[in-house]
Amino acid sequence: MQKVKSSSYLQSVKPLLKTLLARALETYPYASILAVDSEANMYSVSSNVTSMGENGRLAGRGFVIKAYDGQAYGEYSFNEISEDKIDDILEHVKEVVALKDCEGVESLSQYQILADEPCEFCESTEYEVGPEELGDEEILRRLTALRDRCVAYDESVIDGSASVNYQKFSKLFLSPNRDMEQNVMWTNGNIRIVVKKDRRVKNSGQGFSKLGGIELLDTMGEAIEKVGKDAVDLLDSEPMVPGEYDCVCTPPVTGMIAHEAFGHGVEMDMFVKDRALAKYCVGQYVASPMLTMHDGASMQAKLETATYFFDDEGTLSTDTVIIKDGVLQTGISDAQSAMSLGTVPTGNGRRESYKRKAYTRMTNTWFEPGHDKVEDMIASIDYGFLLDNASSGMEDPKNWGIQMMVNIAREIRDGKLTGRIFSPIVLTGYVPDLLKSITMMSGTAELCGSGMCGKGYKEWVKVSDGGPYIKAKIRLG
Amino acid sequence: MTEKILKVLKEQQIDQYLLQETTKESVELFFIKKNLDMRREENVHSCSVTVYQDYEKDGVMRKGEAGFLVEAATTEEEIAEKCKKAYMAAGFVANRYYPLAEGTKQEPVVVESDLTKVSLKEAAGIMTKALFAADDQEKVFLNSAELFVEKNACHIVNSNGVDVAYVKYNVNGELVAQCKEPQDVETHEQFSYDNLNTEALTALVKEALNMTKDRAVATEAPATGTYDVVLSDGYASRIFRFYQDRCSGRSIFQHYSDFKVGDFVQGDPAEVKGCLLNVDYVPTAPYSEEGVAMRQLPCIQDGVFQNIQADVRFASYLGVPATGQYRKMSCKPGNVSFEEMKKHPGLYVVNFSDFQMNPMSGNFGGEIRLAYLNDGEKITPVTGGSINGSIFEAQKDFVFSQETQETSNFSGPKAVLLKNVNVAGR
Repeated sequence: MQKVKSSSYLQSVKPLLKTLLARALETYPYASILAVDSEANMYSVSSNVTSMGENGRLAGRGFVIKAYDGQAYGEYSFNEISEDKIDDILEHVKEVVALKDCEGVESLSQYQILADEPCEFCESTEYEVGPEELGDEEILRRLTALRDRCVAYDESVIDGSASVNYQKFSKLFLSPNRDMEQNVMWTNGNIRIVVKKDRRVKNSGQGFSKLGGIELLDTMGEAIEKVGKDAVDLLDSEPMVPGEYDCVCTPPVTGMIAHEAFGHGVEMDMFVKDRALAKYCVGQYVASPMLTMHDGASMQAKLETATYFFDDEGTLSTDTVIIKDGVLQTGISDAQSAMSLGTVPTGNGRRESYKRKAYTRMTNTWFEPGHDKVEDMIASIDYGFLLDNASSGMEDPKNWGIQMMVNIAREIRDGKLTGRIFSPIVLTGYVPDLLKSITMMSGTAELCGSGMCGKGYKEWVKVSDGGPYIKAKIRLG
Repeated sequence: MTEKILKVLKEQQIDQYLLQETTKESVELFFIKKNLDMRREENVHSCSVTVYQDYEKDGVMRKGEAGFLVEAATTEEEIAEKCKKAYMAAGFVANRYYPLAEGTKQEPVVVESDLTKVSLKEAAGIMTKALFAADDQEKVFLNSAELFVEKNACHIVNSNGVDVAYVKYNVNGELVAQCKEPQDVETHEQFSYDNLNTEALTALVKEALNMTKDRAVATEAPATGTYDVVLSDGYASRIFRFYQDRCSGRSIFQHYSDFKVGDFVQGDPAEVKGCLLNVDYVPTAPYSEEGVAMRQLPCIQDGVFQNIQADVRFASYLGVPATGQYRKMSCKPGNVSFEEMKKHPGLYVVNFSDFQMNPMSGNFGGEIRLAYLNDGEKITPVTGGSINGSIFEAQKDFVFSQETQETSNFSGPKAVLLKNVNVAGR
């Protein structure tokens, strides 16, 4: 195993950043700087197009300075620093602070100074094979071989694709008492097959993820058979008859329930805004007593793509037990929200990039496994569905309404899969009703971090989610 | 920055390239109720670079390409290294050949907008005033809002003579309206305008507050069944994303879309009883990302497909003119008033958790946060359940409102009526 290296660029500008911080502290009671150097590349091979290049959303090199004016906080994001730029940057910070005088602004939130216990820190995650070791040519060659297998799966295939992307980032966090550095790499992959019969176009895919390097490529071929079968089966799918059914959810669907249905509701910046019902339910049963739920980015939590050592506000990452034996314990928070609520920050203050504001965000979110066998779970259902291929979801922290879509519902009759398939499926209902209806959980939790999570429709950050197979009652449409 | 990169490209004898240099400035205000909770500014300068290699493989001309990002903080040595690495990588990418866009040096353009007449800070102030203008009630109020005023300067240069530049302004954001009684509920809205559209923002807030008040009294989901469904504003415009995608060169070339220019693309013409589609592509910037000049173009007229929208690559593959990729569409409105539409028995869904239009499958759906159920006698606010429909079924009976909406990505009917849509409810 190898450790992700420090950014030589960040090391070279660190003295300048310390000067900038010291100058800012001459004017403001508190200031901090987050510096980011992120390399992110994507490689994709489909039937007709091969592409490779830097991922504009994830790659970047820049800085954000945060300043406290005695009442509230302001931030300036920039990507150029040199000795002669420092005065200009400080002038911009002054402009930001003066935005409180904008027309229409009636009042300012009142905050105290952020906690700033001393911390000096430098850590890196590990990987087996670096993208540069394997090389662009070999990465594309392997993806082309995977693409060829996808295309050859069935005569109905009109497109097959294989892609991989990675982010290797270094971050520095500097404040009056903190000097922290972390270097992290994750890798994602995807296999996708598109099929067509008459006018019906259907697709299926599977994501792969790893806190680590391009060694992920070695695992992707195993999924082609399942992805191809799912896509071809979808060509004969039927529309769902709306109703409430006994369902077995595969780990990706379980993960979507953990993340979308419940996780967003315990992001504590929503507590500050009075936008989350969970605020009033701490200490209450919100789920089956079988259920324990975590969110955590720390090395002691699940090692998936949303793992890091400290968040974008310089708070060390943790592993938060959100639900314990069905009872809601706590939410997750960024530093500013925790200050408002009088709680301890959990290391969940994350930014899409140095260009964006920090919000409370999930990391690796998952349900602990149970003790059941998947075949027993299916056998226990008289009539219901096996839900697979999670496609999208949207949070409703205020009212705990469920809005999720899955691509595949496989019919179960008399404890057996019949081969009939229904698609697309909208899952609805009330989150605690679904979580309390869980009666069986399989023995292994599987996580996947191939997707990104938005706050509403923006602010995309890397997350993972998952859990075991679960059996629950769910309203399908 | 462009000059610095061009110098490196010349030194390395890289003769095919595309540079997109951007400078973004923004003022950002984040509110909790009426308190300014966080204020931010962004000033970021970067350039996206793509290098190309033409070569022959197995007797066929190929074009390889690879891209990288240069930021203000990227050193000249790093640019040289990135260029070298990308050019080598382009030799491993074996795409079918296509020529780059051709062009000449053009005068920079500032996209017309009243946002150009004020500073970003002043614009933020004016829009803040508009945001809170209708927030004057006690029981229903703005819970929180985010406002972004942005100035984007873009300079596009390629090795085929393209050298164009423009500056574009935008104001966008989101808001959450809350009503605490009799139930504590909220609704979420987004907005995006290319002008100081204060009236539209105030109207949006007013509608959001009224909608939220109604959601607070809605307790029951509609009964499971088939309904005529009215969608308005952002949900109505999302229906057109299906056509936007199906008309794109990428989808057509990859056989995801079977649209052919000259074909009727609204199902079987004999079955169409509703409004015929009359849709145009509308430019949101003077030039595409590759420097192709963009202008308003017919997309579908009376249900017949007119022009493929395609970037340079897919236009070349399909043998059609490159138009650039459009992000905005306009649609000719109908002749039924929105009020008449709402009187039609069925379900008028005003708020979803998330409304999805899948361009590949043609399926649309979402969970209902607030809808008005019109049973022919009375109108009842309902919440919960979901709709799940197919555009292939719905498109033959489209009814478009005569009232229109105008946003950054759609110009057309304010509302669309879709017949016989499945609703999963109680």
